[in-house]
Amino acid sequence: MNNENPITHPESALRILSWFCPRDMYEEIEGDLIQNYYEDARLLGAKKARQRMIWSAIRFCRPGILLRNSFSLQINKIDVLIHHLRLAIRIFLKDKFFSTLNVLGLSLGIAVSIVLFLILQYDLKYDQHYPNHERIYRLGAHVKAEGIDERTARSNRLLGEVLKEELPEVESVTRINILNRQGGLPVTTEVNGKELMFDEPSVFRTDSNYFKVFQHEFIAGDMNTCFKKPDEVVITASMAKRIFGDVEALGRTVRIGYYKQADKIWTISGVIKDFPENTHLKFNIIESGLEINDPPFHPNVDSINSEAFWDTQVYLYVLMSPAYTSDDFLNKWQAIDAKYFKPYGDKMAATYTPILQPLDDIHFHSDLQQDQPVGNMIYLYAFIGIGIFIVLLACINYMNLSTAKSSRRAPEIGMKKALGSGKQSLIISFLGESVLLSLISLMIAIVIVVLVLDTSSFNALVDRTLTFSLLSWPQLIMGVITITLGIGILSGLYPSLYLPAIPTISALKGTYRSGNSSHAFRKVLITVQFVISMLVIVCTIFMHNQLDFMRNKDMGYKKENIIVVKVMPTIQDHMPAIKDQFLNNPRIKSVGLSRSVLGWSSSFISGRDVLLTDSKEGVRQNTFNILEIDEDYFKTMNIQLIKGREFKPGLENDREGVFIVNQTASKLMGWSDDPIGKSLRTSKGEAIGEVVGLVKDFNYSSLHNAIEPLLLIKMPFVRGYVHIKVAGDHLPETIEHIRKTLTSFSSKFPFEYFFFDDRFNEQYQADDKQYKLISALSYVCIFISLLGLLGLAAFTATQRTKEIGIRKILGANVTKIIILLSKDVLILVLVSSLLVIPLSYWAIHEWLQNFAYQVSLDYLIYFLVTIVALFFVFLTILLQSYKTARSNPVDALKYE
Amino acid sequence: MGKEYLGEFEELVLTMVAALQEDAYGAFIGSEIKTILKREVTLSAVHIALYRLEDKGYVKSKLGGATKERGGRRKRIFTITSAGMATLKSMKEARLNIWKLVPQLKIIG
Repeated sequence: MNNENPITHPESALRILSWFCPRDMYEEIEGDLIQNYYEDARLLGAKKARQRMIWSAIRFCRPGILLRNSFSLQINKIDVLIHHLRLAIRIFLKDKFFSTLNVLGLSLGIAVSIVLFLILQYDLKYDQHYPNHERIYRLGAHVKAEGIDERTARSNRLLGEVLKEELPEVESVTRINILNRQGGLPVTTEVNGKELMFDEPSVFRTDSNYFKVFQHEFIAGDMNTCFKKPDEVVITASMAKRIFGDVEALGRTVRIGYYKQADKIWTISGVIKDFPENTHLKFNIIESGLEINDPPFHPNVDSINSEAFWDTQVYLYVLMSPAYTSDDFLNKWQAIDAKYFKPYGDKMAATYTPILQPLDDIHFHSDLQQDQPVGNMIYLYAFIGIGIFIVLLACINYMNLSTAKSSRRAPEIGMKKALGSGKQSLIISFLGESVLLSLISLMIAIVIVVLVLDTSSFNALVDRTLTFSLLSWPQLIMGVITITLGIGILSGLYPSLYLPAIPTISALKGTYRSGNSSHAFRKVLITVQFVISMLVIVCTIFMHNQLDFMRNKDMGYKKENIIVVKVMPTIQDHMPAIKDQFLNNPRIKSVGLSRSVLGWSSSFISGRDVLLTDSKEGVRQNTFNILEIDEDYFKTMNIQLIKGREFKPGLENDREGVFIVNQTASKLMGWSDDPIGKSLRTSKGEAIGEVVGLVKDFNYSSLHNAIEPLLLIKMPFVRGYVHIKVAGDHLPETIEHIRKTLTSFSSKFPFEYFFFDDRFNEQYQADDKQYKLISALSYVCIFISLLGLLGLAAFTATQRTKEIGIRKILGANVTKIIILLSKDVLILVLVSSLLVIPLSYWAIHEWLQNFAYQVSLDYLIYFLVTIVALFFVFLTILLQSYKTARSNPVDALKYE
Repeated sequence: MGKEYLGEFEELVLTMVAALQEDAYGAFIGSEIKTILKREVTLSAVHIALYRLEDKGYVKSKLGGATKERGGRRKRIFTITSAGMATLKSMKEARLNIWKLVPQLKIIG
């Protein structure tokens, strides 16, 4: 051999080797690798030789080598673990049918837990994107007086100044008013010489301190200077893009609102980054200047107008200094209350209790009036509950199947024990099996979760954007692993304690049969499964009933065939002429206006106010909901007037001081059923009007709420929505006629319309979505239960092969045998259905508390669900046992 | 048969050790198997088999000479022990006995 070696061996291979090779063997292995390298280099060339050397070195990374490193104690443990792992895999593969059932069930359980975990993460992180969010609070109040018991989210506009004056811990205060409670405000601007007008649904007004409390990221403009000059607005990035496209928005002007409001010119002084979804306070445009209408503020006791402070007008947010607790606040409040609130409160026998809400709590825990739509904790609890149920079901499946198969594994277990396996080590090996299964299920579960989130409409269903990105939340990884290990250990607990306890001798002899006690426990488990599944089904059905009931209930006004068009500034002045033209069409029955559209969103009333009346017995006061309408609204909406008269046509008539009330109002004000001629005033004493009409109670609010006192006034000028009652046929032509009429007066705005009953259901949208989610979860529940049932039935059939054989010989026919096999389980179903009744009753009634109007529960459902359950169980057992029952008893008995 | 079975590969390696005598070290055993049996073996497999055989007491080993081709590293020479020889013999015998029972292959003796 030529001793001249032109290319030396790669050191990298040797370096790799050094990572895991024990010192004792290092030299000889190195030598061999080098020798082979030169040999290969001679035959195949240096490059190939390098590859082979590196590959050979890597191949040394195997347990046979790794474990020869002197880890002393660890050698044994790893060896044992690997042995167990191998064993577990072998056992897993031996019974592919049952293993698949187990894995499927566990995967679903884990997948559901992960999704629920994501939802929890999302919901509980509401509003946490603001820096300082732990120090931000909203101040509301609980006001109690005669006829008034209100918990409001708002405060008086000057209360912020008071707080700053009296409490040194207050760093900043800001106030917000939401300007567009009904639909949007028209926004006009000029882009490239063209005038643009559109409807903006989300406009707020605030004072110059807003950005001190809520720190946003500014894309253009500056946080500290954006509200220094008068008439400035800040808009969000997506709004800027929508109006101006790619042109710079900073410095441009817009006009917002109707009539005189639209004369004011606002300058855009800042563009902020868009809000994340999980925040309760979202706007697209925020105007400055709330402080303009502030009355002068003097902390001097003599000049404090106590009564004014009881008027809650704005949302007040406070930024506290870091060391602060809400107890401090309540303590200090006494002084503030005494100075500012008590003088008037004592006069009116009223109490004012502040409600300080931490920012993070608002979305879920706020149950205050005049609040932004909030999430509902009840649903969150329901999801968590069902999620836990599903996990339980999966674990119970595993437990049942593992222990049911115990007689099969008895010989193996007996052998292990006879050979000296300690009980402890056996327990660990079984736990290891279940954890292994759990981990395999985890991978499948992740695939399921990603599929569901990315490809289905799940995110739309739950109204949130959920993404499964492990990198963004370390908590997610932790949570997922905890869930998986937890499920693995939980499901493995029972089998791992039960199986090693099998008496060794009978196990080895092959005569071991699962004892009665294990039968009993298994029966309990199955019953729990049935109870959970039936409970979920029954509750889902009841939920559906309630939702249906609410959608279809007669609200006291007409919902169908009413077309609604928003009143834009361009047609405001032409309304009478427009109405006339509409009515020329024989298919248009009636046209009426209202400032708000009933049932569309949660804030569909024009306001609430406390009004008083004087009578012989004294003063009565109540909080009224106020609705602004025109003279034709009742006719259009088929709302029934019981006494008195409707509003007179013509803008000059009935502009002020003329009211129509509903029956509830009339009763509560002490007028029983004749309010005509009675007068109402504000608390200050000014008489503001008298009642001219009494309208039949109708559900102007969603069926969540009972009917409250309603005050109807005539709109002083045209605004809001035009409601057009049309005939049910030839709708396209009617709509075309409406469009033509409107555009003939002004074509500035695109013609938009909707049907009243389409939007009507939006108020139940939240409930509907939660319902859909819960029913989806209930399907998962049912599926997992069926899996468990299938497995158990399959196993029972094989177990009792001999018994079936003997019975056949003794003369039983197939049907009888099948009934025999299923008898046990069917009884369990019946027992479960009895247990379900009280549980579901409690659960549903808790949920129904949300609604003032409740559907009457149809208890036939219990009966139906039980029958269906019995049927399914029977069918499953039938499928599994049929083969066995029909088989030749000789085959069954052959293996005796 | 001995108290413990030998795997097929281990048996092969053991036989090679017995055959190659003072040349019985990892790389050479591997290359001989490749040459004689036309069978690809990884160096790691050979080494592990050798270590296992040593654990079982069928071979013993000693560090031998270093050469330039090995970059100056010594080689570990394996020698078969009497126990190993005994096992090998009994395995071959057992195999031959079963072999004799196969009707198609009437091997005499």
